[in-house]
Amino acid sequence: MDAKKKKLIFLLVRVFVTVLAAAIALGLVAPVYFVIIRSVSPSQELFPIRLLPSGAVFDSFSEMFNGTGVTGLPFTRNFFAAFVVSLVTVAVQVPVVCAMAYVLAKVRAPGIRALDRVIEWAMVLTPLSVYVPQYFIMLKLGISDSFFALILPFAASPLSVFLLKRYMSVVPDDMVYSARLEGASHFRICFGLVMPNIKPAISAVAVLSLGNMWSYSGELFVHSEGVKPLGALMPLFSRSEEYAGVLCAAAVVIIVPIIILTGVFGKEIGQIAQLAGLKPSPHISDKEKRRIEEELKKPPKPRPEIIKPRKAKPEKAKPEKARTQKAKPEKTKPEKTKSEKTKPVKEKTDKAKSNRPEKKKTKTEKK
Amino acid sequence: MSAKKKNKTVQAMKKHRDAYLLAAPFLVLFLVFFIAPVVMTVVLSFFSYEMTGLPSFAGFDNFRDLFMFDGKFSQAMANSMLIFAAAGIGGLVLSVLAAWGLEYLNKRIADIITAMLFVMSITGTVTAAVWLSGGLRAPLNSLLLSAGLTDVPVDWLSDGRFALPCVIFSQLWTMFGLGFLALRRGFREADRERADAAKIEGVKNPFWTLIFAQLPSVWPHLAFAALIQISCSFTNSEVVRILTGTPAESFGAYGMLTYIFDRGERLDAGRVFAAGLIMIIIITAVYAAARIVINKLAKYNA
Repeated sequence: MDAKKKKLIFLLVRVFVTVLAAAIALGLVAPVYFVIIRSVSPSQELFPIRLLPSGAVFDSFSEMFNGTGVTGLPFTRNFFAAFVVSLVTVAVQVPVVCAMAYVLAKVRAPGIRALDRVIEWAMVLTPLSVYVPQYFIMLKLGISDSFFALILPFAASPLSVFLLKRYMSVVPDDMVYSARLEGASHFRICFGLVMPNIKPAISAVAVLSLGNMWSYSGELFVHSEGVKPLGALMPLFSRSEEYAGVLCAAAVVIIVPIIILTGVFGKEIGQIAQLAGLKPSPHISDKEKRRIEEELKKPPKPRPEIIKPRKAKPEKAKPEKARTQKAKPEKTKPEKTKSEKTKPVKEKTDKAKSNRPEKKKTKTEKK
Repeated sequence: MSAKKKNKTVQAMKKHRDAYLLAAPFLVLFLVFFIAPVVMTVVLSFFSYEMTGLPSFAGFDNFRDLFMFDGKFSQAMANSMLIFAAAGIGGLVLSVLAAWGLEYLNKRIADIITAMLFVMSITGTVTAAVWLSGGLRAPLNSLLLSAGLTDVPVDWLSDGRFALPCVIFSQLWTMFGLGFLALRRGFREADRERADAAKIEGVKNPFWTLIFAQLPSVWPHLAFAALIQISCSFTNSEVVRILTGTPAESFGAYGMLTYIFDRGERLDAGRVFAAGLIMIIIITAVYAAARIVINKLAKYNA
């Protein structure tokens, strides 16, 4: 009865946790559901909140597309801006960030480790903390109020570097070093060897950045309406009541592409999260190298005598026999599966046989 | 550095010259748009912009003014700390618990739920902004009004009573972001040895198993989740404010970033930079603490 009781309790706990998890998940999905529903509801049905609209009505969307903003520019301008900003930012980000991640992960040069820490610090110290000085710098550079102002700060995104850097462990260090030894430049290694192997991570990072930029509002940096991306639509509609449906439409236009992209590339994003958690391949500092070398130089600790030391020649016959016995089942396995490969396997064992007695001789002689 | 070391370093740098070239585009952009602003903040926070518009050295005056004479800044700092504690640390704890709890479910259900939560988390700020918008027709208002819970539509983010809880609640979405995904993978793939050993030793309480057996084996994922959560918690409230169009002065959850935006637009520059510097120092301190903990965990588990 005790075992049965335990099983029952375990089952109940699982059911409870499942229900709780489903409830929480629904609780997070429901707001999005309502936003989408309300964007296609007729305006009268917005106030008492309803689960389902009476029919799909696209007034909100048409008002959004055909309407004009304060300055008379149609809202499609915001779409155009969002497209430009997102796509260009990602297009610039991918090679720049890839190169940096490669250098951080695979190159052992002076200053790389410090750079690593600085970039990690920059990631935590989010972009928003430096908005105001960034604005002044952009003013001085003369690029404020243009697309550059929206693209350039995010082209060098420390978060993307961080994510890609961890994923670089997929390409083994040895491959990189041997390519280096053969004279390949870092450019070739990065774009020819490493990048093709990292495609899932690249697409994941690109999708995440696209998502960020698509909902970006460009609040502080740009003032002329023509340059503001999609995120600027939301505050526009948010404060007035007639535009409640249009607000939902704007939100839908922002959210739905992101959801679709994330869904499509979900597997890659999951992979990035997985490898992003792994310990990074350590750069062994010189100090550690020296310590390891010293440790290797010390005489090996005497091992306890569990196995008796081998006696001289008469014992040689036994190991040979044991080897032939071992070799036989090895031979039959390849015969069963691949008949072509038995020849090289046979040759190998023959060679090994002929080589090994010599080796054993020298060992016992040494001893 | 001794001459020999210098020589070695220079030689290594020459050998890897093209690596530095590779890193150059990123580093240039990084320098211009991150390092330069930070340096600017640090340096200019010690200057004040008097009526003349020219900066004059003011020492610690800006900082003193911030704390002594500008009541808004102290309130802002308190709010930011509160949001960080609740949404940052609390959010991290909750996402760890959620990732751990999901492990007990059927694998397929857990995967579906994880995917749903992650996708929702990405769109979190926008959805929160829609729901928290003011007026009669805003979703949250219409929900409460039709349920008869309130009489009057509430302007959530402007109302001092509700703004802070609303902002903290809206950050619940971010709990299920990348950090959550990493933790899920960590808990799924963590070697069960320690947990099983704990069970054999007779640990009955599952929470003890969590803290002492499973958490240490997922520490890299925990580190990653912590880093992401820290950076999110400071900025999401601001993003929600921007998306709802709440002006900075009337923002109920007035935090340090809001202060910077608010004063920054009026070019009260010296104090703005001082506030920015304080914010940078606080976040750096939090990051340093997190790094120390992470390094200790790494050594303990290596």
